[in-house]
Amino acid sequence: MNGTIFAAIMHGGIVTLEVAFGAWLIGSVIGLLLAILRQLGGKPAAWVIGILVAILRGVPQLVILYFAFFALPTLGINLSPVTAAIVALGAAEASFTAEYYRAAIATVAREQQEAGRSLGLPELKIFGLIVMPQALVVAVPALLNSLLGLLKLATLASAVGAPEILYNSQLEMNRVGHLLGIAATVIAVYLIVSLPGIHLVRRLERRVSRHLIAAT
Amino acid sequence: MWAQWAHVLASGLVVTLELTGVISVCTIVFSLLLASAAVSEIKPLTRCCRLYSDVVRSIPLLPALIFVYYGLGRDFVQIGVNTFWLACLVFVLSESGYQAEIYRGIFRSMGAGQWEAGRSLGLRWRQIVTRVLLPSCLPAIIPVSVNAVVLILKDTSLASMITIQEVTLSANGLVSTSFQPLQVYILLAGFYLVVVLPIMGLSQLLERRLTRGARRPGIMLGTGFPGARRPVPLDLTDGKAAASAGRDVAGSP
Repeated sequence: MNGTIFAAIMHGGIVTLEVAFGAWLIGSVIGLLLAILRQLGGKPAAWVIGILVAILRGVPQLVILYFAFFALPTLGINLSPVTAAIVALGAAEASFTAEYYRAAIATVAREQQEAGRSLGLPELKIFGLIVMPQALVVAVPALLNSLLGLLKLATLASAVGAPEILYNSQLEMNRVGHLLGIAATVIAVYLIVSLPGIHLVRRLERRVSRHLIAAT
Repeated sequence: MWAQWAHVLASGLVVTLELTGVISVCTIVFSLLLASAAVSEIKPLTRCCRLYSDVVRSIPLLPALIFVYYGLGRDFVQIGVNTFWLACLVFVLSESGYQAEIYRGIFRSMGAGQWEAGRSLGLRWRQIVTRVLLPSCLPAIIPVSVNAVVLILKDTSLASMITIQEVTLSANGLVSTSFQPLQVYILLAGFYLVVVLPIMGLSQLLERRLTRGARRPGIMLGTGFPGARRPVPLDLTDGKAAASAGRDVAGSP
């Protein structure tokens, strides 16, 4: 009996992982594209991206999720609850990760781009071979932090009926009660995952700032 | 139709703003207390504050809200505390974990050595905090506090999940009666943007104004933009690194 409740919560946990990792991938990739376009795309591109980012950043993730799940079908785009959560949370996250990349790109010394130009390298190569490899290292802690955030944000997917950890716990609570036990289990799962994660990010950050100090 | 919708959403927005106001004020005060305790010289107190921040930042906000509401909602209503205040309590406890870490970073980077200086002058903890630490860190504290208001305002949409009639729940009601989710949610997004974008602008303006001429607290990777929640601080003051403005991360709700 209790085994089945626990199993249901853990099954939900797997869906939570799916949502979080999916959204993280989308967020990291689209965020990178936005950062690159903003850097290389000229004025109109930067303008359009600026508006897009402001919208994604100013509207709550829950509202973006409702939009993806309830409003997109009227435009003929039908998404399952899990897909809608991945798309919505990923899009919202991209507006943040774009900024992490931008800040990371800014830490790469200007002289390096000029050196690349003086060697006659094309802009795209300077960006891809000189700037990005160094910037990505700096962005690692922020990206890992975004994954930790998404593991928590993934619980919003329960609002559109994705069978993730919170949704399954609520089902079990309505079915058999045991509110305290179920709540304690969910919180314990999060503590076990997040606390080491927070410490790892902290250590990586220290390493990155030491690396940057050494570079300057 | 639009006018009627706007009317419904506006009444929901009032509740959203009430929630945001109460939670913001309490969060900022509580976080400043936590942060000033975390940079004090009393080791056990420092440990407790950091543990609080780490634990609270590990627990997602929505499950916390729902579990507390399921578990205590009825009892609270029976003793005369409605769900609004219950939500405020959970929000403040949770948001303070993130905000305290941000303030602690500011105190550490700008207030280094001030404890010792205050102590050597014979000042008490309260005097050091109110007369030395807060005034000298105010230019850095104000913009991040305004930014916190934006994050809290966005997070209050989660209160719709525990039946608080704020603007997101009002919109859900409109969707279920009008069957026009596209229009309703676009209008809802507009309502949020109308409130959030000016505050974001204010936060940026204040940051530029207040840090002009002063020693900058350092490049905080990923914090120097509106809506940023997760500071990844990298201090590169004057081209060479100094004490980092808060080495730690804050996740999201």
